[in-house]
Amino acid sequence: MEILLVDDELEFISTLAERLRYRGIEVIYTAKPAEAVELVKNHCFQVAVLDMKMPGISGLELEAQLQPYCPDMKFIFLTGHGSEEDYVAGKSVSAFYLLKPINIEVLVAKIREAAVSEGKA
Amino acid sequence: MSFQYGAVGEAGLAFFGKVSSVACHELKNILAIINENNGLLEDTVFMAQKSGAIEPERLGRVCEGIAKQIHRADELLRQVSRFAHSVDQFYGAIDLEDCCRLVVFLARRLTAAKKLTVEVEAASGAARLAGGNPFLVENLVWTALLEAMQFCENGGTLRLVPGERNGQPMVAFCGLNRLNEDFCSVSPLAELLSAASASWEIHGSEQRCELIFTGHEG
Repeated sequence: MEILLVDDELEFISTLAERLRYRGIEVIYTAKPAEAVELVKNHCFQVAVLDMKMPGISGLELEAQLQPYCPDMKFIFLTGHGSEEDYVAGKSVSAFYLLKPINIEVLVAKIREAAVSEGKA
Repeated sequence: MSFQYGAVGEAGLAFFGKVSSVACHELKNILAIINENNGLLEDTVFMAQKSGAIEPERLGRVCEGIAKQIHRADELLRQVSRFAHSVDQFYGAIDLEDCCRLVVFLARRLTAAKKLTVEVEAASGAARLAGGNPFLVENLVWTALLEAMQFCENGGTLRLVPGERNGQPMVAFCGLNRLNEDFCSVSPLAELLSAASASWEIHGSEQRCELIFTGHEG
């Protein structure tokens, strides 16, 4: 399984990617949302894990940019905010939504769950 | 409820709220990184228990990562504490260079959203108010900075240059390459300018604007 991980905190995603790889999940990561768009133009991932708030763009806005290239790709949103507004926004797109700091086993379970639903789509 | 704060009071609350929420967001990110590094240590221990081998290089990298985030959190808390204590004193001397450096630090996540580099130059001349409300002046510089950002190209550099103009303390905002007459005409900037006895001078051809504390001697 291969996923895309996008968050402006490079140290967060590089460490998280290492831990996900230990658990058998291949990860391509970037701290630049624009680079994420370029990546999906050439290759679709089963799941994209996106930070909800990045400088200049929200996770939902990035999802809207990625989705046309990979309509079957599933999304998981991460946030440090935990605000009601974010929560409602996350829920509104029927996506998985996790608060930072995250529990790796919960994230892995959500990724596998999302990947299965992607396979059924 | 009929009570109203007024434009300056509302701007102050909004300023305090925004700084607090941005700082909370950054602290959450720092905790998330420390959490992942801790998780990586747990993974490493787990694997070492199975294989008997431990990689000192990996452990060193994790320790380095944690130390870096502790330093980052420490600096953030130091600056937020400075900001919080700026309401302790209603009236006092204000060093504009210090004020600009604090505000630029607090706004860096917002300026990063525009991929903007913001620099504060060392003050030339007496960039100091003999007396003023520190929180009000911070709010004025913050509001001016956010407004000035709108007149900078994405990826550009905005320079804040504290100094004096005709014996009056001022801060010049330089690098406004999209400057036009709309600058500084909006609320709450106008009210904050009035409350702080300050005014603007726009120098369109020089792509800069000066925040001059007209009611103060340098």
